[in-house]
Amino acid sequence: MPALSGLWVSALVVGLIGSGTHCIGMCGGIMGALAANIRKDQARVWPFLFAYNIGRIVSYALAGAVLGGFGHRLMAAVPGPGVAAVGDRIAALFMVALGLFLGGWWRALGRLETWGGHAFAYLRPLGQRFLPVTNLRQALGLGLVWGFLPCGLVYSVLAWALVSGSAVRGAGLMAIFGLATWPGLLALGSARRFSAWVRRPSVRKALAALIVGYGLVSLISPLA
Amino acid sequence: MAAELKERANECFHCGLPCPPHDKWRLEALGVERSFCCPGCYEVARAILGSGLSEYYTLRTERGSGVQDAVPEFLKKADLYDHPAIQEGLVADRADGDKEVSLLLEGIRCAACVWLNERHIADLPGVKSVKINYTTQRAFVRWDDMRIHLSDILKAVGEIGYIAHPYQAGVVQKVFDRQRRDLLHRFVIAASFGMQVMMLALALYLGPSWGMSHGLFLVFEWLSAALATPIVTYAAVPFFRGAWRDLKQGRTGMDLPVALGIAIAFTVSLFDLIRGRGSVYFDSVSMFAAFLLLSRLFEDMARARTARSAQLLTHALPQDAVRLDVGDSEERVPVSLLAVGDRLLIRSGERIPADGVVTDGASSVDESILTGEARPVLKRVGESVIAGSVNMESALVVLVQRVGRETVLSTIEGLLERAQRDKPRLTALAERASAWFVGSLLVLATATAATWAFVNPAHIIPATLAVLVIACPCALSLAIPTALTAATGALMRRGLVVTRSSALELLARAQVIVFDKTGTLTEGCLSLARIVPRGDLRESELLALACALERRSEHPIAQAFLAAQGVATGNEAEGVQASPGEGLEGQVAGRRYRLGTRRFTGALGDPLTVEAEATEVWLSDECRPLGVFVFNDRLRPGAEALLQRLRRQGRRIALLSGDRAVTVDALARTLGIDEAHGDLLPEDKLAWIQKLSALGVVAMVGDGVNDAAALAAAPVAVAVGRRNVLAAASADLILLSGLTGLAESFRLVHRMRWVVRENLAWAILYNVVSLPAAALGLVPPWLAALGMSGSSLLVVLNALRLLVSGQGGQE
Repeated sequence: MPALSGLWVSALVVGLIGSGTHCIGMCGGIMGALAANIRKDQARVWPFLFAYNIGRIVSYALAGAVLGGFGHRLMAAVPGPGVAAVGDRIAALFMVALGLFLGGWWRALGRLETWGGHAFAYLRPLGQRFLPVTNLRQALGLGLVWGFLPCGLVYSVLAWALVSGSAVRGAGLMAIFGLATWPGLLALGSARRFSAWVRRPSVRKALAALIVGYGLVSLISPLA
Repeated sequence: MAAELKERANECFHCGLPCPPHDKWRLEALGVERSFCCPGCYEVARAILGSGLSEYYTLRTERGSGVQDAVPEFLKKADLYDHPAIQEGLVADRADGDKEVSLLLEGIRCAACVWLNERHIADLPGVKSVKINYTTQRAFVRWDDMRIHLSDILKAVGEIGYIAHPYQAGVVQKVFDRQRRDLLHRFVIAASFGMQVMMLALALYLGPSWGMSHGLFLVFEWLSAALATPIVTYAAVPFFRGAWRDLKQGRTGMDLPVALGIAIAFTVSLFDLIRGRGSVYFDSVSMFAAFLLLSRLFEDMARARTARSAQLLTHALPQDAVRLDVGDSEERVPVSLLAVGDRLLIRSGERIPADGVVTDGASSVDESILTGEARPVLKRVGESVIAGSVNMESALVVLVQRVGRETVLSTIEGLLERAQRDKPRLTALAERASAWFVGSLLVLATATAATWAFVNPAHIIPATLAVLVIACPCALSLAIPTALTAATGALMRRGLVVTRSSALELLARAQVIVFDKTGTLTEGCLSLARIVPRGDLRESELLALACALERRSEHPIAQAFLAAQGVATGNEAEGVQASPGEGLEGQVAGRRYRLGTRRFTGALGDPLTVEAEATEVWLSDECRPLGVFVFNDRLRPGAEALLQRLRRQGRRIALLSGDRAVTVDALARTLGIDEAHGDLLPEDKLAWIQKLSALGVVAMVGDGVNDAAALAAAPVAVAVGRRNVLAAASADLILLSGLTGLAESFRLVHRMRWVVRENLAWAILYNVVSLPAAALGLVPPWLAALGMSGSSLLVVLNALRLLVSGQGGQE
């Protein structure tokens, strides 16, 4: 069994740091569009942001469950004690790749995003149905669809869901990741300066380096 | 801002991050082909543009906007404030040559800061007085401009690490906002990093039992150190800054224990980590910072809200007004240029910029900014309107009578400021106590550390940390001022202006409520029922004489006379002298006349009797009574309900009046008042108030004109305001709305008293229970942080309750 605790923490860290750099730029636009549509009235915007994020996390968890279940089947099919360890190494590699990607040093994950982009084209019309957002149901729907937006961050955590060991664990992992992105994203409504700070190249690179280091450590260290 | 968002080369149009070299994702937006960094941004932008929301991209401000450090330039600009043109409107010149200013102080964190600033400013040569209000962060300074300049005062404040600006309504909001943004920013950092540290701590805690390898264990420890570093070096900086500022002044402030706690925990953990032994407290550090910042944020918000509620917003006045010139052509001029005698056109929906009288048109006007009364009042030609009220229906032409600082609104604002300058004894005591408290706390922390060193060294750090963090001197110093300010704000919404904060406590305790009759319990707008001649003069001649005498009087009776006369006649009285509570004496056409009570006019011997409810006013010349004027008065709406309510609260009610005893008795019977006395001269009223004081605290409710002396003598004085006498009122509270508002006010101050008690009780109980527990090592550090934050927040929120439930009265 993979060191699940390590994965939980990793998912959390990636969600927190990653959302601070990448998602604020990207999903911030979505929030902004939602907010702009309901006027800049904080009290009224919050429920929408909430609904949107719930939708997004449900999508993540769904994807996590599918991949987790699939990975479980796969590992069961390949006998041998080394499988789990291999899975962990794969997860760690993804983490390194993610850090490199966020830092702008190596864009391998960008390739993944491109593929994801092609897939998302099928979902695009569905998302368009919920725009512009005028009620909570639409915000939720938009979140459900846009949870599948091509995103390297999500893909790398999905890779861990693949080796998590079961559908439930995969879903849990993705949900934790999703929750961890909240502080970074919700901060948008109020703390513009935070996002500006995180997106300074120096800060972004430092955080990315932190993720790479974290990934390297879990790659090298003998996981239990 | 939006203009700064220029498209930079190679930057994602949507998120602003660098685009990859291949530049594959492109889309036309706002007429130009744009590049995107990833398919995600491309999809989002496509969706936003596709649903016609492209204005999002023109309106947004956040992308690419850098962080600008707002370096305070105030000190550099301080000299500017000595310039007379700049002082205009900010600084008040007093009659005795002194100057007075209201300053906004940035950085006031606690009662000890208040005390320090007060002491420091007061020590400057040339400064006559200084009072600081904690809730509103404002300082009221009076100085002798020959000996010291405003810039010196501002610089002196800067020297001890605070920032002072002359108070301007607009600036306040900005400063509050900036402080709040800064705190929020720090909190977000503390919370997001803190959450990760907590997860790592959990892993470290569970790790060994789950078979976590030693290597990973170490990695996790180092990671938590790395994550906690920004929390300590950035998020917690305000605590260090505050503590350092205090230390430089050689005193201990509220930030010191917290700063010590964070610094000790972090340093010890770092050392233990490097030496590779012991447990690390990075999670505690993160929790302290996050919790304390959050509670400080909430506290600031609550405080700002409370402070706002207790201020009349003169900046709610419009910036400009439409002035009519002689030919009735319209001209838009800034309000600051308006002068007495200007004619203004006020369209419907506009706010009236100055006090004045309606010369054309009729409309209903919303005066709720002053009275709290939501129902608009009908204004016709000849009626006066006040600055700050809103014209609701149709256009009015208003002749300006008072502008700027002379307006009723400004006068009330001045009175409110006076109230906030006033510092009840108990507040001063609590401020003193909380400064002392921090000192003893440090002693206790040292003692705790020393004791545990002997008993069980493993507990030294957690127990000492808990002691430092759990103590909540804030609750003690916040307990009273927040409640007072909240009550002041809530009362204002009911149309009751508080001019002396310490009066609130007394009002709550008042056992005996003394009422004046005319203009207080009754409408005071008497109407002349009939005139009974007692000599040769005819009714119209009598009236003309009376009006001549009364022409310059403020007394309600005078208004009634003048109203009855209608058109003014040429009769002018000379040498008119008023004997309060008795009447007037003066010469008309060379003969002396007296107008007033039966006794004053020497008419005691006259057999004529007037019905009990009516008010009689006699006119006599040098030898005999000439006639009597009979006036009727109506009870004010809400009078009966008010008295019933007060009686239910167990208070005694007395009626003291200069009016005829029969009239007073009749009214007392109608209202069920036992203690009623008529025919009183002002000095009799004083004597009665002193006599009643034996029964408990006396509150006097009067109209502020006749009763000035009695109001001044009573421990608590409530003036039932005529607006034109506001400035003269020596009252502690001024009622601008109906009597119903007064009834609710009694309930409110009663509740305020409870809030103060609850707050004090909580502050004491909390500290008494929590400190020993922490010293004994029973409280884990995270709980200590939670307890301390919760405690000070509780106190502020408890005070805020006064405001929240206060809103019911308006709707």
